[in-house]
Amino acid sequence: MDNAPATPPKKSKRPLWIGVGVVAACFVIYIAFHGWPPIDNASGTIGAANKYRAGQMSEKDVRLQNPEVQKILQNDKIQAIINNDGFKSALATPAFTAAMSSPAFTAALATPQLASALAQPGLAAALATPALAAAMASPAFTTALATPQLASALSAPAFTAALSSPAFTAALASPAFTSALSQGHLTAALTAANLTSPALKAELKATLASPALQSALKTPELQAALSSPALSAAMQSPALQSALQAPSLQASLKSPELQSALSAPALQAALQTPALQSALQAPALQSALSAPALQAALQTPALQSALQAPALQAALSAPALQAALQTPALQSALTSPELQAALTSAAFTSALTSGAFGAQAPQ
Amino acid sequence: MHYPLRALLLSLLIAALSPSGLYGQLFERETDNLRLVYYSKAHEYLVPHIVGCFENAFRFESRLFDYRPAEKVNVLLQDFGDYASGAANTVPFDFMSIGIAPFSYVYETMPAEERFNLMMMHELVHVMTMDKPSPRDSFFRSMFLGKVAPIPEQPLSMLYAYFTGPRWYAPRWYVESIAVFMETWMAGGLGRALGAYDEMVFRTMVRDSSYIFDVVGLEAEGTKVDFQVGAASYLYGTRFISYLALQHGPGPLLQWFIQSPGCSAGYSAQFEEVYHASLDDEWQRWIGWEKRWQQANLDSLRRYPITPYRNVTRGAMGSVSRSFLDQGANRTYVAVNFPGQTPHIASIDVTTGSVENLHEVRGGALFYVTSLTYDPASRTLFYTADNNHWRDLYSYEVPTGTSRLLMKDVRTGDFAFNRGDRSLWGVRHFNGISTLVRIPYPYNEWNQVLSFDYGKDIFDIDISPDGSQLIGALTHVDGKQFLIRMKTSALLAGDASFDTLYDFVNSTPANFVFSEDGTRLYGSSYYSGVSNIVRYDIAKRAMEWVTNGETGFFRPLPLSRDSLLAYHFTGRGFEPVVIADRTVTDVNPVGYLGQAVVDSFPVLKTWALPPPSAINADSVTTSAGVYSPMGNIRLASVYPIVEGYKVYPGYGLRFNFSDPLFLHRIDLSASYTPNRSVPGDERLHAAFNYNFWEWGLNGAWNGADFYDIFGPTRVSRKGSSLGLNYRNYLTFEEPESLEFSGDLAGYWGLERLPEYQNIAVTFGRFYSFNAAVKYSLLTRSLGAVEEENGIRWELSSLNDEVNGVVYPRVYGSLESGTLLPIDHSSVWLRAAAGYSPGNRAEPFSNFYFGGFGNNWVDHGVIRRYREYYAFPGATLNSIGGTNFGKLLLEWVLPPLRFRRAGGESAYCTWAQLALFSGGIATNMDDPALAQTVGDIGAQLDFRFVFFSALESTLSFGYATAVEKREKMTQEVMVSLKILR
Repeated sequence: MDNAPATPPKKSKRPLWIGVGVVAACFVIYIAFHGWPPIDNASGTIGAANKYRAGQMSEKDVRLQNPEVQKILQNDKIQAIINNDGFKSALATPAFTAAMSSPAFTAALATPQLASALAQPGLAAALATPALAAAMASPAFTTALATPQLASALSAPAFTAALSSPAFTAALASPAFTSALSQGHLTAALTAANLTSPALKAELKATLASPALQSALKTPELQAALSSPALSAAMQSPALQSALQAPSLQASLKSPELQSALSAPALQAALQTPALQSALQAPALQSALSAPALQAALQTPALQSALQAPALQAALSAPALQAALQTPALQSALTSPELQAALTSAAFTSALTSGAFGAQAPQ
Repeated sequence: MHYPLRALLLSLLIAALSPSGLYGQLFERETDNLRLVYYSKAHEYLVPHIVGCFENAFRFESRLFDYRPAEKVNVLLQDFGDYASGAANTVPFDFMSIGIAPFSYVYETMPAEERFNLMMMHELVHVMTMDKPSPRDSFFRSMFLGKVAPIPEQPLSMLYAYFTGPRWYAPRWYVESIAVFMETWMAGGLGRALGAYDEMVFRTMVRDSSYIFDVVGLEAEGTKVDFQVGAASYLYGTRFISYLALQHGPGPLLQWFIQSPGCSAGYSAQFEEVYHASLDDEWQRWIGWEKRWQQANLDSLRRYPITPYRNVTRGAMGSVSRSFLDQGANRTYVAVNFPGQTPHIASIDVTTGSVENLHEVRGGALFYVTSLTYDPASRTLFYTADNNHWRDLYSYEVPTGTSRLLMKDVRTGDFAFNRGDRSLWGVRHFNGISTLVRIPYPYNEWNQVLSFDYGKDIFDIDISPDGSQLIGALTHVDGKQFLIRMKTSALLAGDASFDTLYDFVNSTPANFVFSEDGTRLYGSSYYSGVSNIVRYDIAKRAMEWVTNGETGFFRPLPLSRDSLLAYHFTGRGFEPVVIADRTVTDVNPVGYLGQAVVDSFPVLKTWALPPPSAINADSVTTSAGVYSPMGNIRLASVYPIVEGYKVYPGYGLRFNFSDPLFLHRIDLSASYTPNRSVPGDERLHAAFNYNFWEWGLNGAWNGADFYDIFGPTRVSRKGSSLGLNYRNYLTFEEPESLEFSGDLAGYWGLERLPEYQNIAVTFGRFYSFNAAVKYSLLTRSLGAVEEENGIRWELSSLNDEVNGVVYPRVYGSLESGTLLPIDHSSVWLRAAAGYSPGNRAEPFSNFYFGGFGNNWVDHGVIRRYREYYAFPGATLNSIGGTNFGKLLLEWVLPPLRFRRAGGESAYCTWAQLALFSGGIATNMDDPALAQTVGDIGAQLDFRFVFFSALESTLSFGYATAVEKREKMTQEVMVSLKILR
């Protein structure tokens, strides 16, 4: 009998090979999609390109000259004014260019007193008051500016002489005068239909009776001003009377915005600053105001036409401009030390007088 | 009638010689090395910074090139265009023109480097490399008392120009390559030699197995047929010298470009001296290397699945604008610009790919074409024209096909339409400042919204569908770029704050647009070195990649929730494709050649300049004030000349004077004809020309002309003349112009008519006054040889006074041409008519016609058969009359371009055939004297380039003319125009 164990039957290796084949197939498929071995530069994410970069300049490395002025020039309303054909013609008239480049005018702009006055926070704040902004942008005001009579009046030698008389400027600055202005009576009086009428309007009576005006009238400065031959000549000039009676001027003087502006504490404070008073009395400014060149410029048909141009008036009275003038950003800009520094810089005055704000078309 | 014409002439001369006060002022700021001139005080705010940038670059380059120009470099600041520009020349003076507007960053063809810093670096390299003389050049400059500018009137000047400035005679790729290379490393790597666009162009060529032009073929053909035209010179040149730098280092590169004692005059010869190989051979080696380099990049990109796409159209479209979807019509609107056709707005069917040409874009720009936006409610497109100057805004109504000018010179682009209130928002470039503006309906005024500080620029803006948000790319002066978002209501209230969505560092966040539901943004970025489409989820504040491309994807436009239209870069421009809106997670970066260069040669890192603030402009300023053109006139050069008097040569000298800005240009010439056949009183010749702005004054004594040596047309005349001319534009908005000109002249001691050499005269003196008005609106496609389309007309009055009798003549011409569907082929109809009331027997009363009009050697218009006085086939001046009518029909065939016909020193770039036929009738009121002649002919022109910079044209013409009841006459014309 044979007890040796029987040779076990050979097992089939097919399942093993099938399994290996399946694994190999999976491996091949994987490699086909993902690659093998790991590839150089294969980051497996969004790989950033390798680029050398040295340090670059920063904003402080850019040295500009009065860039604040450029911001102003970018404004569409400013551009509308600058590019207005009438305005451009006015700027180009010999009278105007002579006025702008006259030594008197440039000296006036460069006077330390004016610079100091313009730098006064009070004045800047006054200019930035919404009321004044609204007043200056009101259609009545802009129309008034455009009246030929007003231009003629402003350029009358008597008027400019009056404006530049020390007595008058002192009176303008007297607290009593500004107080009278702020009560509205004086402005109302100025709109009386006929100042020379024997039948004085009630407003005029009230004005004359106001303690503030009486106080103002008593100040030596105002008395001197009122009695100056120059002022009386001016007040009697047909041009000024015509201007004062122009409905548009009367409307603007009556406007609540203007009255509110005139009575704004900021404006009053500004008018009382020694700097402004000093500026108004500066010989350079007075000389400039009375310069024949300026007077001729104000009377040029081109300038008057420009001021009356519908486009310009529309621009100045546009709600957008009014809104712009009242925006905190602009008010902030107007009172910013940078703008004040720009406005008083020699560069700005040089720019004003040499055409920086002129049309940009190249030769 | 007797006129005191001498008195009139004298008074006009006197008035003309007093130009001061008639023109605007120019201002200047000078340092030891610079004369900076500007025409507007409003640009003055930039002066300190520009002076700093100039001096900063000058100091470095002067040391590196070991050269300090003998004169100040004159720089003109201008704001003539809405995007930055720079140009430089060194002949006869060192001069640079700098456009102060911000750069266009489209497709990252320009880096976001601070622009004046970059432009000063770049343009000064041109000055240094072209101006620095070898000892030989210095010798000739001393001999000619300056650098000679080649002029067509005196062809010998070409030779003198080569003697005094040989490196000026170099191809564009050579001149620009070193400037781009230097600008990159001086800017610390922020330049085009390390740019993604350049890398993409060559990667695409290799991927598509496109032909890479050789050193001759690039300028002969490549820059004309490639949709990038002249930009191809920059691309090829920069790649080639970056390759040279990688192979051999920056040292030999500088040796090649910098003139030094013993160096070769020509750039090609100098290359051989430095690299010991021919330029041609090395260029071929570069091409082989470039293919291997780009193949490695492509292999790297292909490690991850490349995004599949479906082509919408059958071919690429050249440069493309932003595009918009008209869902109702299943069409997309895009502006395109490719060689052979004028730029236009196209309408593409997204499904079928059919393309319809909607409307021409006048003044289309390279790369971005126009600023296009769309109002889907009214189906109105808004686009800009005159894109290469001051942009105008137009509307185009798709339903009616009507285009309307909305605002002229609005200088605004990057438009986005606000569906909330129908307003347009855009970016205005003015005085170098970027301003976000809003143009409310009905689009007749713009309003400032936000002006950015100098150095910051916003572009590629879009507005959300509900109108509440605005996004855009914001770049800073340090080159960093961000994707930002602002609220439109806040902006209108004066609030300039913004939300930074993504910091792209130095890569451009390009063409981001809102999805239709406003929750996502789609744009493109070269973050990995390849421009891929990216998607930004606004709520999650997360950026994801949508494509892994081989060349580049741009300008995405959501088509549906799961697909986008995009533009895929190819060698023929951008092709619209549709891709799936999916996320890809794996994108390999590519390698930059520029990076390899700086890694191999870190010395380039030492080239990075310190900031320009290191220079105090006030400290280096030597003077500031008003620029006086008259006060700056000086001698530019003197050189010997040869002139022809009748058929005999004369020899003499020419003196050239100018101010550095070329406002005053004066030349004086004097020569002597030794031939004894010329009467003694005619042997001496003298002439002068003076030009100032629109005015010109000229005079001659026995006037001679170089080209009279060859004939058959001759302009030299016995006698003396004095003339005053005035030319000015009543309109100048390229390509449209309306010009007025007036000429007043007096002639004494004549024997032939000034205008007609074969017409003898019996009087010794006469005067003429001519005035003309000329209108032109002619356009050409990219790569064109000449204008191909448009209209031109002229009305002229010719008045001659002889012995107290005035002989007036008037004529007009009208030409109209249209581009055919065949690229660069056009058909023209040219008509002319004239009338004179004078006595037919008097020569002055007649018009004369005949001949092609070209001289054997010439410098006038090549296709002179188009002029009203020409009539090919008939003898010169053989047809005459006191009235005439003329018609010419012309077909200009497409040019045949030669990829390589010649060598580096001389090659032919193209040949073009024009066929024409016409007729003329004269003395139509007198049958006995009437002439009616017809002709038919052809002219074949070959354009050659000599010494890389001198373009000459060799023309062959044949025509036959036949008059009623007369024999046929024939004419063969051969003419070489020496300079363009």
